[in-house]
Formats: sequence, C-alpha cells, structure tokens
Amino acid sequence: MLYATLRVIKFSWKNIWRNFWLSVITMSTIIITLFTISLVLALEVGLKQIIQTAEKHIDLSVYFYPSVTEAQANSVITVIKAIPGIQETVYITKEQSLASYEKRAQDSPELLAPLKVIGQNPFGAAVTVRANEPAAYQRVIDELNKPQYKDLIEGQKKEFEENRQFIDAFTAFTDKVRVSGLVISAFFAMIAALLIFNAIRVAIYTHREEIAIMKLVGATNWFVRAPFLTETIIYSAIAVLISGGLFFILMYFLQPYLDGYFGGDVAIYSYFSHNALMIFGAELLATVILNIIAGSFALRRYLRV
Amino acid sequence: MINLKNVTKQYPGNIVALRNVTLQIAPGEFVSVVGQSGAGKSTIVRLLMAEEPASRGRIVVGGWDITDIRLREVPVLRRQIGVVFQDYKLLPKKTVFENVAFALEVCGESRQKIRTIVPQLLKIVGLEDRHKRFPDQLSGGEQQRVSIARALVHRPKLLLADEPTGNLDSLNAREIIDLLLKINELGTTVMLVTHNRDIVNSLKRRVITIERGEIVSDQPVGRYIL
Ligand SMILES: Nc1ncnc2c1ncn2[C@@H]1O[C@H](COP(=O)(O)OP(=O)(O)OP(=O)(O)O)[C@@H](O)[C@H]1O
Ligand SMILES: [Mg+2]
Repeated sequence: MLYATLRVIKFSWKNIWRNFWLSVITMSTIIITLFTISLVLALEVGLKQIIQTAEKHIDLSVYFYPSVTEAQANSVITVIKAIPGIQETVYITKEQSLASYEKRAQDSPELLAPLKVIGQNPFGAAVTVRANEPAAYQRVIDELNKPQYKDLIEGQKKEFEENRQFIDAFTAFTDKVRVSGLVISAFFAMIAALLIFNAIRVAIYTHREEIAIMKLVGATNWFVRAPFLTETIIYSAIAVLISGGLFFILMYFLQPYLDGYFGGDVAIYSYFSHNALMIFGAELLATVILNIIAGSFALRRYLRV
Repeated sequence: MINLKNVTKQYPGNIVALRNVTLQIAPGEFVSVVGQSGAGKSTIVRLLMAEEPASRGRIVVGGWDITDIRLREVPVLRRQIGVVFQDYKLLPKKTVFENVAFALEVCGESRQKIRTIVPQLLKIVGLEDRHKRFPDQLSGGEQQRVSIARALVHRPKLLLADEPTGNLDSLNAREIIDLLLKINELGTTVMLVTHNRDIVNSLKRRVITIERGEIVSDQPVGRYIL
C-alpha cells in the first residue's frame, strides 16, 4: 500500500511535467479563480468593516422636559433598555447638558447671553441610545411615541441621519459587489473545471499505452485511476499556495494605503492573517472537491476500467 | 485449465465472432489455435482475459467461472494469466528492465521483490545482458522476449500468446516458439494463436482449427490444415 501510494504520487508528478504547458494553463486558471474569490472576500470584509465603523457613529438622543425628575427619566431609560437590540444608554443630567452647551458656545457670547437672561438652567436631562442594529432605533422611536411619554419627552433626534442613508446605500452596494463577485467567481470556477476535465482527458490520452499495460498485467482499477485524481489534488494544492501567496503580497502592500485612507478602520491584512488557515483551507477543500468531480467525469468518460 | 462451454460471442452490429464453441484444455498443455483472419481466434483470447464478456455459454479459467466476472475482480484474473501480442506493447521510454518492472510496480510489489524477480525473468528469456537497452535498440524477437518476461511477472499458470511471431522472420519466430516451449516445460499452460504453418507442423502438439467462429478440427498431434 505504501509502495502503491508513493508510486501513484510519482506517476502523477511525472505527468504534470510531461504536459508542462497544459499544466501551467490549467493551474493558472485555478489560480485566477481562487484569487478572484479571495478578492471578493477581501472586498466584502473591507466594506463590512466600513459599515461597522459608520454604524458606530449613529446614535439616538432623547430629550426630557426640564421638569422631568431623575426618577421619571430612569423609568423611561429602563423601558428603553428592555428593547431588543439596544447596546447602551448614556444618561446626561441637566447640568451636563448645560455644561456641554456652554462649552460649545464659549466663543460666541451672543449664544451665552440668553442663558444669563433666563438666570436658571433651561436644559432638560437627556439620554443617548446606541443600538446594535439599525432597526432597534425605530423600535425605540415607536415606543417613545406612545401617549404615556408625551409629557416627559420633549423630542428625539437621530444623529447623523445622513450617515444612516450612507450605510443603507453602502449595504446595498455591498450586496451588489457580493453578487457580482460570486457570479464572476462561478464563471472562473466553471472554466477551471472544464480545463481540469481537459487536462485529465489529455493525461489519459498521453498515458493510453501505460494504462493498457497496467490493465493487462492486473493493476487494480484504483491504481489505474488514482494517479489522475492525485494529479488534480496536486494542481489544487499548488494553485492554493500560489494564489494565497500572491494575495498576501497584494494585501501586504495595499494595507498601508487603506490605513492612510480609513485610519485603521479597514484591516483586511490582519483579518486574512488571522483567518488564513480557515480561508485557504476552505479554498483548498473546495478546489479539491471541484477538481475531483471534474477529473472523475473525465475518467468515467475516457477511461474504461 | 480452460473450459469453454457452448460459448457464443456476438459483437455489436450482429457480428457473430464465435458460435457455440466448446473446448477444454488441461493444465500443462501446449495448444495451438489456427484459423483464417477473422475466424475468431483473438476473440477467444479476449474472452479468456475477461476483456469482453461472452454473449452465451460459460467460461472457466483455472477452476474459476469468469462468465459473470465483476469489474473489480478482473485484475485478480489478469494476475493469473500472462498475455503476449503480435505488437509487443512495450513502453518506448522505459528500458528492458523498467518495462518488466513496471508490471510489478503497478501491482504494488515492493522494490526488493522487483529487484530479485526481474533479473530472474530476464534470464529465463535470455536477455540478462540487455536489461539497460530501450525497446528501439532491440530486434523484434528480443522485444517479444521482453514482452514474454513481462507476461510472466506473476508466475501465471496460463500464458496466452496471440500471434507472437506475426512480426518476426522465421529464425526469430523459431526462437520465440522455443521459449514458449521452455515456459511450458516449466509448468505453464500455453495457448498459441498463430498463422505460421511451419511452426504448427513442426510442433507436433495439439492443434485447434477455427473457421468462421466454429471449431472445425481438434487434433492431439495436429497439422496446419487450411
Ligand atoms: N470489437 C469488435 N466489434 C465488432 N466486431 C469485431 C470486434 N472485434 C472483432 N470483431 C469481428 O469478429 C470477428 C472475429 O475477430 P477476431 O479478432 O477474433 O479474428 P481473428 O481470428 O483473431 O483474426 P486475425 O487472424 O486477423 O487476427 C471478425 O469478423 C471481426 O471483424
Ligand atoms: Mg487476431
């Protein structure tokens, strides 16, 4: 069995060299396919990271009437916290509201003047709500629009409404990128499968004498087939290595530009280095499966054993 | 060793290559099969090595009924039968030694075993001093001897030779026949398919004559009668 396995690998390896240019073309196509898939994945990861960053800049502020007591405000906050999808709530006291107003207005005396006229703190308390998911904001708004809160809440303000719109548009864009990426990848994968099929077909043809003799002298069917399937596995392994290597080099040089532009929010290189084993393992598995299927078709079609 | 019972072989297109053939060959026999082109001689060989199934009848080889042999059992059968052909079917890019060794390699034999068996076989066929040559550096007779050595790697009890001398001059042909006789003496049953009248007449062994798919004569000490 050990001898047989080693010989199978030797035969496959020899065959790859025997049809050198065919092997190069077949392998290049697999490499391009894998590279495209990695790029699509990188794009997806990058866009997701951008969206996540943008989502952090969204929050909802709820303003209470100045007359509302801290206890009343707390009861509203308890309700808000119970809404699913809420990440955190930050309570801002009347005094903090005043202080932050004063701070913002410190260089423009005309804004501070009215405060002096009033002579007391005109601000109410407020609470800033941050959610895990965009839909949770709407749930908060719906809840607070109920009549029992009418006398407590002066108003709500969803910050960065334009940010929200950006995220929505961007999410739609991401979906489009994903779909087109998948279509392109599938297209390349199809070509790769056809080329593998052809490579095995040609391998069977160039080996027809050996195959005939193998069958004549009683080599098992497994032994006749195995070199061809091993060949597809070798193709897969080499292609994953090369495409993975190229991809890492590209990401390595691209990452500084991403850092410059997004200020560290988009960390594709580190994402891929942390998940390298998973990603390229999955790519290898998928490639091997695809190639074995394509190779088996060729064997069944052209190799009568 | 061989037992054909009412065997009929029909190829696609309604071509009847063998019609109701019954035939027995005992272990240790040396049998010549003669007949005109297209008579069905090679078809018998193909049936015996399970390259083709019989359309009707039963085929037993070495006590094994191979009539309905399963695909994955065919290699087991092939290791019990040696086959040589008119075209020697050698691999041109392999040396004599490698050509014989190849048959053992693909059956998963150990390197050690290969290194002991191959020289023995080359000695039997008289090519021990030619083992480094490539097929195109050998005469036709020598190439056929390599092919015979390869057919013997599994020490088969049965050797099928389908016109092994078809491409050889009479001197080389004679040597190949002598080699087959020698192998027969060592205990292997030999079935020789041939066109060569002189050889058949000089052998003075059993001769089976086939005509249009039917056995028309089977003589213990036969002559070429066509
Ligand atoms: N694969 C096939 N498909 C259809 N017909 C075939 C096939 N192989 C052989 N035949 C036919 O079967 C008949 C017997 O063929 P076979 O090869 O057994 O003849 P043979 O006696 O060996 O002839 P030769 O002396 O020329 O080698 C012939 O008529 C041939 O045309
Ligand atoms: Mg023939």
